[in-house]
Amino acid sequence: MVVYDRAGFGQSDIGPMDLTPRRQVEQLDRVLTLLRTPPDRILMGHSYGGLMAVAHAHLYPGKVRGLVLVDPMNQRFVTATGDAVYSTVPKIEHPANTRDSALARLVSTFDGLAKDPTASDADLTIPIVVITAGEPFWGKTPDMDKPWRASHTAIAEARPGRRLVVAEGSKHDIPAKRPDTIIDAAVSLVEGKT
Amino acid sequence: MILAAAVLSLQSIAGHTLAPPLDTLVDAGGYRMHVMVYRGAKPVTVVMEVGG
Repeated sequence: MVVYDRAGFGQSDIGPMDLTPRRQVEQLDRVLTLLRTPPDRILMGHSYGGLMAVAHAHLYPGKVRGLVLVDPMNQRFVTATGDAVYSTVPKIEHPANTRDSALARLVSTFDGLAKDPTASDADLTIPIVVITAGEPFWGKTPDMDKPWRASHTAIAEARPGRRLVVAEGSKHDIPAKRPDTIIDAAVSLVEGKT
Repeated sequence: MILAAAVLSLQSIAGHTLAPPLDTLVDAGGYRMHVMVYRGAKPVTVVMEVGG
């Protein structure tokens, strides 16, 4: 299993400020190759990480066996909500530290990533487990929770070999509240099931 | 903590004893990326993409 800090977060350097999400996926592939990890991969992506996991599957189709998307941000939701989703992201005009700079870069490149063909799950034929929050959490007007859940359902129902898991009792922070759902999904994919 | 739990579970199904992870900085292409690798017995790489 591999966990890493995205550029500018944790202990990773921030890298160039024009670093794109696509380039970050390519760099992760480079690092995984340098570390000689098995090229048979399962990507688990939480929230924004869901977009990155889907992009990874598109860019390296021969290396990705399956995806676990954990309450994922996704292209279907962005398409359905339009500008509303952009009103929810933080505006960081004067970054005070490396993390803020990395977050500002993430926000500034979000639109491009969300609309990029590599962020679409539609053409992926690999197994996908989508874990959606059991409890509403957006709390915005207009209601964002219905399209959020609907987007996750749509991903799961778009092709055979996909399934939806509802993380009962959890809002967006499923890794903290219901890690068992993520572990179960990963184990099923490791064992060759959906 | 949570990821560690996931690692424990995945390694247990692989019948592999938990070993200390490789905790390293790797040149990702002009900058250093912090990576932790938990080696298991099965030839599969499970990668966690965290949220923003």
